[in-house]
Amino acid sequence: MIEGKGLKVYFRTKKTLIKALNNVSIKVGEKEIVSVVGESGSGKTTLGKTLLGLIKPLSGEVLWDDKNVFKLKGKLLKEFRRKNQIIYQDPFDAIDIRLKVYDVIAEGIRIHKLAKNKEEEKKMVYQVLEDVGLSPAEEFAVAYPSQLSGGQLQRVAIARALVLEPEFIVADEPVSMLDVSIRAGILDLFKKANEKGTSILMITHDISTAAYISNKIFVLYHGKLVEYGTTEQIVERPKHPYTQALISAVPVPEPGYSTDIKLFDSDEPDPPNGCPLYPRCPFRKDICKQKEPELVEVEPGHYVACFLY
Amino acid sequence: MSGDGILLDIKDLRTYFRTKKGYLKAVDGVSLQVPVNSIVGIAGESGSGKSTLVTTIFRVLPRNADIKGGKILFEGQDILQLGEKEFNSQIRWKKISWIPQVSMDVLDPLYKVKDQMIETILSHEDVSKAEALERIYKIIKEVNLRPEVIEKFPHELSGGQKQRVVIATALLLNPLLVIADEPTTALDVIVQAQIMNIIKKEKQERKFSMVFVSHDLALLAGISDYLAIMYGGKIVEIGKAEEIYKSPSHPYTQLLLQSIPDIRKRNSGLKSIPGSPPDLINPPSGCRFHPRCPFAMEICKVQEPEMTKVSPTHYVACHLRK
Repeated sequence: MIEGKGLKVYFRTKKTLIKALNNVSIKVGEKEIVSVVGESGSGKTTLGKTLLGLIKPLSGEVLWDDKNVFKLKGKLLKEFRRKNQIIYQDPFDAIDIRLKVYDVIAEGIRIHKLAKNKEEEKKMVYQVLEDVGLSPAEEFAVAYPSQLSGGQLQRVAIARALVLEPEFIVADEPVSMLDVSIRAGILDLFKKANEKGTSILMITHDISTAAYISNKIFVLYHGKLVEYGTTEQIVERPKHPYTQALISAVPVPEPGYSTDIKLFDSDEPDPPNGCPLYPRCPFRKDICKQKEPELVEVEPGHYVACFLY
Repeated sequence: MSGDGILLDIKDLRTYFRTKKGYLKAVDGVSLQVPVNSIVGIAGESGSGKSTLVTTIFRVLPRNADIKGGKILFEGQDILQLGEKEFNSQIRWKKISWIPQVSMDVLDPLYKVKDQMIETILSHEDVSKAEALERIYKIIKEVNLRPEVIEKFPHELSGGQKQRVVIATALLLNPLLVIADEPTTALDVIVQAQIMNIIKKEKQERKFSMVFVSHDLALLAGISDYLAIMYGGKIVEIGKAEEIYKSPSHPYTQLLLQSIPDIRKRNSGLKSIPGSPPDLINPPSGCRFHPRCPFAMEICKVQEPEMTKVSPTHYVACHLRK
């Protein structure tokens, strides 16, 4: 339903050209939860925004049920905006602190004229507050954002998206600012929404979050898609040296456990025509510096861009 | 955790913040011992008081903080009794050093890395500039940075490089105790793993003790010899790391451990702890965890539980465990 094909997004700074997305293709099918994993600067947020039509790519296209998102107009564009939502990392930034929780949520209902009258609007707002665990809804509805904790506010942001009955939600690091002790509760809201039919693109730097929530994982490195497959394929049989490092770097709750990172510690620039991981890769060969590896299928549905395969 | 080999002995420490609504009891009667040559991890949610505890030790508290009671015995001496000047000349950086969060920007943006490090050495030790530089090059290499880095200004470094410089600076004077407050939060997971490995290596070679604060129980597992769990300004459970992970006794510790994902067991469910952290201006009566505790009994609402022995090295404050 949402598909990005050959997306290229470049940002120009004074000194350099940053290839935030370098020929990335991704598809999020119906009822899927797809995670995009990578470090800061990998392009994962840019990818999420591009899929929602918020950033126009230099080349490539985004298709929403086979319609080009950047050519949508009028009614159809408004429908696209309603059905495709985004949740940001910091709910304090994403929510207007002058509005009561009720109005934060009702705003979208009004813009899209989803309620016949005030009574119905109220019913919708209360229902969605209960759905996201803000109960009793009557009390949360009259609260101001400043009276809520970060976790509660993130639930408000999710409620605001869910009330529009979206088909697709981009969740951009929705739990990374929250305490570990409440993260699972927030992630489970996305799982619940997914069971009701909403597809999710989960953007995260934490591959264990991705492993917990998603069906498929895409790994980005310096704007390139280096590996993707089902969660089982990526977590249990990672092929790309970068994916392997990402997984072995995850701290494990066991006393005395130590992680072993094989990547080099390097701050050399990426080779202009080669594999972006070249400066840090322990398995590099000459060809990796000269040519960019293409994605190849290593098992059904599991693709990796590395000359080792 | 008793006997002679205690480097840091905190007794009934209380650090409160003045607010418009009254005192916020961020650290409220904490006792903790750090044995020589060991790492004590401190875990807890935001607002548990873990950061306030260590900022009290290193004296980097905000202005509205008051130390309302307790002692901090370091090598047997109560460092709370030292004047600011004495603390700066005798303790800070020399005997106790500090690795804060990446975002805290401890490095001065106006000076090159080299100059800041030289300043740190020369203000405490009577050595020549050449000797100081030699020591700087050695430690920069140990934290896996290229020597050119010391000619740079802080803004020219990446987050990971900056934190390596901060670690190198913290170790320059061979302190006995290193305090780290969420030193890898906000770093990418691979950089985090590399930094953790550097800290472990340095600790083995230099044999300092450490207090390591983090909200991440998985991260603490890899580094801590002992672990203290804080909730609502108090330590609710403390013991050897093994004891805490293998046989957690406090319901809060148990729930906290069930809330962290383990990539090796991705199909097991995660739990989250219902409710929110307590209001520390008007904390709950009795046990501060009782409003969120699935096992709360009548007594928990009225009486604060005392620390009870589970093993000679493992203590818990919970009415269930009496």
